[in-house]
Amino acid sequence: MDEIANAITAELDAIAAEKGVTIKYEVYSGQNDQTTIKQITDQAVADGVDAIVPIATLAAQVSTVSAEDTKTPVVYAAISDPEAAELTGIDYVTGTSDALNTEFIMEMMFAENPDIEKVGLLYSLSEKNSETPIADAKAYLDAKGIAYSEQTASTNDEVVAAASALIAEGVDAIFTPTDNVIMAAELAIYEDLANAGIPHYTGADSFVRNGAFATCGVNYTDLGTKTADLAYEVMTSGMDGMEDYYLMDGGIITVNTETADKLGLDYSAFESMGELVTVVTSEE
Amino acid sequence: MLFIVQTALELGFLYALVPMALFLSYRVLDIADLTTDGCFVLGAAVSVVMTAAGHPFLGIICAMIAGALAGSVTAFLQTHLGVPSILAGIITNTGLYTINLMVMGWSANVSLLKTETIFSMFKSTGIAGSWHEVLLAAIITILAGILLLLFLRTRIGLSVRATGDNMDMVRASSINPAFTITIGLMIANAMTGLSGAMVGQYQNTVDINGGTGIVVIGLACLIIGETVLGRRTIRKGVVAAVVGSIIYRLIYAIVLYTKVVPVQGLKLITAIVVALAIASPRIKEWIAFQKKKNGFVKPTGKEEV
Repeated sequence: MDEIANAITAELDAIAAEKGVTIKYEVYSGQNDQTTIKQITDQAVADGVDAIVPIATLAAQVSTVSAEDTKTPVVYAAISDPEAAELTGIDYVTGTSDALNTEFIMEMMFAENPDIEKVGLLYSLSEKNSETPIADAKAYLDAKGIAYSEQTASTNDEVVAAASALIAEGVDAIFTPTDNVIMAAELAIYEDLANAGIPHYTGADSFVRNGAFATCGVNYTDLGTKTADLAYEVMTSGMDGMEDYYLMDGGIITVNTETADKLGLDYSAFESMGELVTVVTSEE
Repeated sequence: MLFIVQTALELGFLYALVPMALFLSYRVLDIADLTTDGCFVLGAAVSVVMTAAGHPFLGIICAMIAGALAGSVTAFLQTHLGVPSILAGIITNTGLYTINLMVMGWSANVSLLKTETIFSMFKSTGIAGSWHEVLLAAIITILAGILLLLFLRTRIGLSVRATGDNMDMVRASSINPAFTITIGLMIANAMTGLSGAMVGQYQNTVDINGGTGIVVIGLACLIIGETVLGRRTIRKGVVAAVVGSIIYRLIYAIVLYTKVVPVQGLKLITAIVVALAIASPRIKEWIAFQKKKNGFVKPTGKEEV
């Protein structure tokens, strides 16, 4: 989320410099707390801002409610499923979606290892972002006749326990969507997964930087940039003609080479599937 | 299967100091101290931030000091300002949210990447192989338990125990209960902070919401342990905290592994298991009573209901 916020402010600065205008903005963190977010957005609306740019589902939903009377434009960033979050069909709301291409990640999984017999699905029930990709993954695996095992967790220690249950069950690969709860604990589980020889396919490259094996998806800096562009467009040309939401042109495959080495996996199969980026476990 | 037992042991030992802290505050001092959730995150935050700066050992010690300070705030609120004890804990806990964010540099989570932690250092000694995390957590936890037991035998320790038993008698013996409560809560929260500090370095990350509900789980662990071992002596209580914590994590892991219930039903199963564990003395009593009622043959004269 910090990555998106930084990209948005950087792009706003860039636009301002390019067009010779001043764009004033302030960044607030709602800490995923509904009450805090509501207070921030109400204040923003009362201050008469030209647009609110909420990041992630809860902030977007709360902003939409706050802006209801004034019709202050809301340009959200990184909502995986705007329809499920009920953010579509509202004339003052638009934004970018980081909808995960679940099917593509599954194909990567089988391209890497065609003999997979059982896939683990690791996610949290409190992340609305995970609902659709998990349903998609199940549909994909059902159609292919591959077994899967689900584990959910809502805190770091539960993620550790859930991952160890998947290891004990002997799954051949694990899939996690863009799930912030699992993401927060990735550093606590990646070594165990790598030692057990289980590649972790995930919904965002930030997981991969924290030790997961591979992902294909949205680059959140690009997404932040696009969101800022949209926000500028809305502020200058108004909401008319805006789509309900904009999908990112994904296709960046990110592989953690350190984890790949530990797993002894050859990721050359991904080269033909998209733009391949290799990273090592690092901060960012 | 062995692997989930290993994980359960790791988590069991890492979190065992929370029920041990609750044993001191709730059982010995007879105070429901709800500082725990925030204090746990405080310990983790201090430890992770210090580790990121290259001081994993100092991080553990500072986390304990920070925990003790949080405990002293709760104690001050109730002993000097007349705030009811449960409220005092909740107030400190709420305030700690901001303090924790501040410690974490106003960010909701902080991660450790390729940084030396006490666990990675211990791993490089090669002792215990892949079980090094279990061993180190066990050593720290058991050491803390032994120190707590030694403390409770000292003069101050006995005064703390007496405060929970009979405050009037303590006052009459010219011991200041405000002082003993403060000492007790500081030590309890230092242990909670120590647990958070270990968990932070073990998971290489600290999250602002990482302590939510820890007090309830800790209490459940303590009660499970006491149900298994009985709660006669101080020593049994301390051991019960550790044993209970491990049993809780084992139950959790087995439910996860066997999937006797769908994953979504896990919390309910946990609650039922915990409720049964807590209720078991009463259920045992009831069964004994029914047996006696139905099979009243030869009264020994000694039994009472």
